[in-house]
This record gives sequence, structure tokens and C-alpha cells, in this order.
Amino acid sequence: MKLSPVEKGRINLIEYTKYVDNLRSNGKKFPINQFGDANLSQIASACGFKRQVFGKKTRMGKQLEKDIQEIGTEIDNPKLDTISSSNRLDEYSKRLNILTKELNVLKAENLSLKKQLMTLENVQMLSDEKEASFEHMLQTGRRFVL
Amino acid sequence: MIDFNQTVEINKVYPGTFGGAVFTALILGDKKSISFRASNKILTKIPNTGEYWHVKGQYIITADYGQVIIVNSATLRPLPSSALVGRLLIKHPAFRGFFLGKKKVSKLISEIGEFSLVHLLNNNNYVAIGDCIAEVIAKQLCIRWNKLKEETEVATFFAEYGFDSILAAKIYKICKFNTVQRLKNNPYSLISLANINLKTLTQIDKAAFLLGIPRDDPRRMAGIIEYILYKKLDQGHTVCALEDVKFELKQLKLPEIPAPEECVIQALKSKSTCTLEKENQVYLQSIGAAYIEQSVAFQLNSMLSTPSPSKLSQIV
Repeated sequence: MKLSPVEKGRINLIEYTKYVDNLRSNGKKFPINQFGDANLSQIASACGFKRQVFGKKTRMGKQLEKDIQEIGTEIDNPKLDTISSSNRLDEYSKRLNILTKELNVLKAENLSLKKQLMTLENVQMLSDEKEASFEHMLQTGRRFVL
Repeated sequence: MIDFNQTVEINKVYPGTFGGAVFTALILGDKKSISFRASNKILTKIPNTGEYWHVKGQYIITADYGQVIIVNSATLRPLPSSALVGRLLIKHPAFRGFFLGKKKVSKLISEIGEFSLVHLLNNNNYVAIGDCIAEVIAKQLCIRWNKLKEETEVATFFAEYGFDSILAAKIYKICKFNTVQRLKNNPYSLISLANINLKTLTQIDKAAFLLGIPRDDPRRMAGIIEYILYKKLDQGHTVCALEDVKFELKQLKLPEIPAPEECVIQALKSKSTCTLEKENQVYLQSIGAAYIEQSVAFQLNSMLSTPSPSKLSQIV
């Protein structure tokens, strides 16, 4: 017996509602795919229909979006993720230490260069003074040294 | 007439066309502004807003301006207290034009403190000041502060020892840093800038004595010889016979002049003077005159050694 689209839609909704209720009652979340999004194919097969039923503009699609926001999606392989996160944290911490050391070295270098610049500026002033003094000597024949 | 003798903070300045100025100023700790009138003979430079000047003068009453002080002497003074640094930075025109306004000045004072700020500025430590405001501004602030400080210190030194203000202007043109300290170390170096007359030499000698330079100090001996040679130079003599120098030295009316031979030795040691021997006669020459003469001689020799155009045609 061939079902009408309206009948099919009603059955799909019932199956989907059952699936969502099951998730809620067991404290489970929607499965995810390799990209971290809700796995539509898996949900659809669990409900006994095709993934196209969850089209974006369809009623079922909108309902799914609402339910995902409410129930959430599960984290794939949580144990592994925790391990990788802690490793990543260690790596970041090490990197941060290295960068902090480098920054301190550069700061010290910068300060010493600024001091050198100040000294050179004083040398420049002395050189300007010598030049002015020499100019005075050429004009007057009198040597001025302070 | 009532005399006036106090340090004032310049408020407004109206420069005269031929030097001199009319200015209003506040007595330290007083809010009432007073008008001053100073001629170009009195003022070594036109005062600037925010500066501190020690003014001596007399009160007069004028029909147009009321009570005015006619200035007899005015000398630029350093900042009377670190607490006034903020006022100076806000008011003085030297600190305008590089994005330093009231807000930045109050930020500097609140974060660094008045005393420490003056200390950092005096030490030209723009790196430390740059922690509060942009380093470019801090650097510019230090440059301008030290320029003003130098100018003020020189003016104060010259006023203190009664030197001519023109001499201060001359030295300020040449020396831009640590001038007063170096002048205190050897005031006789002023001989080469000053007008050569006994009055100036006596003044320099007096200042040196007050600064703790003894009568038999090598700097004094070299300075006196320099004075004699510059006096001769002013008369058109680039060299002076040793005997003439000794004679001049004996004629000088200065207290406790050491032995002429010793003076000459010290002058030669200081390298301000050199000797020239010609026809069994020893001459003394100031190093400046010697340098110029030698340069001219070298140029003439090189010109003479170059073949003239007429000779060139013969060679070709």
C-alpha cells in the first residue's frame, strides 16, 4: 500500500519525536559527523527515513535545529579529546614560556640600544661643540676648549 | 620710590620693537599680577611665559598703567621648587607644539611625581618617562627641558659672577651641554670668548678664585699667557717674543702672579700655546693663530707648486 506524502510526513514526525524523546530520557545528545555538526544521515536512519527529510526549509529541518539547540550534540570520543587538549595546553604553556623569555631578552636588548642611542646623542652633541669651537678658532684665532 | 627685589613667575610678555619688554608676573605664592618694564640694556633675553626671573627695580605710578616696576636688573632663574614643574611644562612656550598638553602633564605628575619627574628630566631619561607617555613625546620633552635648563644655568652662573650677558650668549652658541659644570672647572677658558681687557680678566680671575681655583693653579697660569697672546693678536701680532710675554706678564695688575717661566711652561703643557724659533729668537704663539698661519702657508705652497698657465703652455 502506497502512503500519501501527508501520511508519510506524519509517520516521520512520530518516529522523530520518539527518537528525540529517547535521547532526552537517556540523557543522550545528537550524534555528530567528522566536522563536528549533527550527523543528519545517522539521525535520519535511526528514525527510518532519508536525510533529505531534514531539508533546511522543511518543518522537520526547523524542528531538528530547534532540538539541537535544546539538547545539543555529543562530543566524539571525549577521552581522546581530553588527552589531546591537555597535551595542547602543555604545548601552549611551553611555547608561552619560550616566547616570554624571548620577549624579555628583546626588551633588555631594546633598553640597552636606547641607552646606547642616548650615549651616541651625547657624543653627537660633543662633536657639534667641537665643530662650533673650531669654527670660532678659524674666525678669531682663539682656541676655545671647555 | 619703593624698591622691588624678588623672584617672579612670568605671566604675559609684550616684547618691544628694539629689544626690551613689558611683562606681567606673579610673585611666588601671590595671585596678584604686577607689571614690569625693562629696557633692552637690562634684558639679556626676552622673558618667556612660565619662566622664573629674579627682578630688582623700583615701583612707579603711571597715568595709563597704574603701578609699574621699572626693572634695574633681571636674571633668569632655575625652577625654585620641583612642585612648580607642572606649571612650567604647561605654561612655557618651549614645551608647546609636540602634543604635550595639560592632561599628559598631569598624568606625568600623578604617575611619576614632581620630584622624580624633575630628576628624570635632568638626567635626560626619556626611556623612563616613555612608560607614561609616548616615547617620542618624552624624548622631545627631555630635549627641550635640557635646552632650557642649560640656558637657565648659564644665565644664572653669569649673573652670579657678574659676567657680561653677551659672553653668556657667545658660550651658549658653542656649548650645549653641562656648560656650567665645565665652566666651574675652568673659568679661564672664557678668556678666548671675552673681550680682551683687564677688567674682564680680573672678573674671570675673581670668579675662579671664588670657585676655589688657587693662584698658582696651572689653569690660571695658562689662561694668563693666553690673555697676553690674544691681546697681541688683537693688535695684529700673531706671534709674540718670549721676552715680550714675560714683560707683559710683569705689567699685569693681577694678584699673586706666579713666575713667568712657570706660566709659559703651563701654557705649553695645556697646548693652548706653541713656540716658534726664528733667528735665535723664541716666540710664543696661540694655537689658533698657529693653525691658521700653517694652513695658509700650506695652501700657498701648494698653489706655488702648481704650474701656472703660462708655464703649462711651455711644457705642452
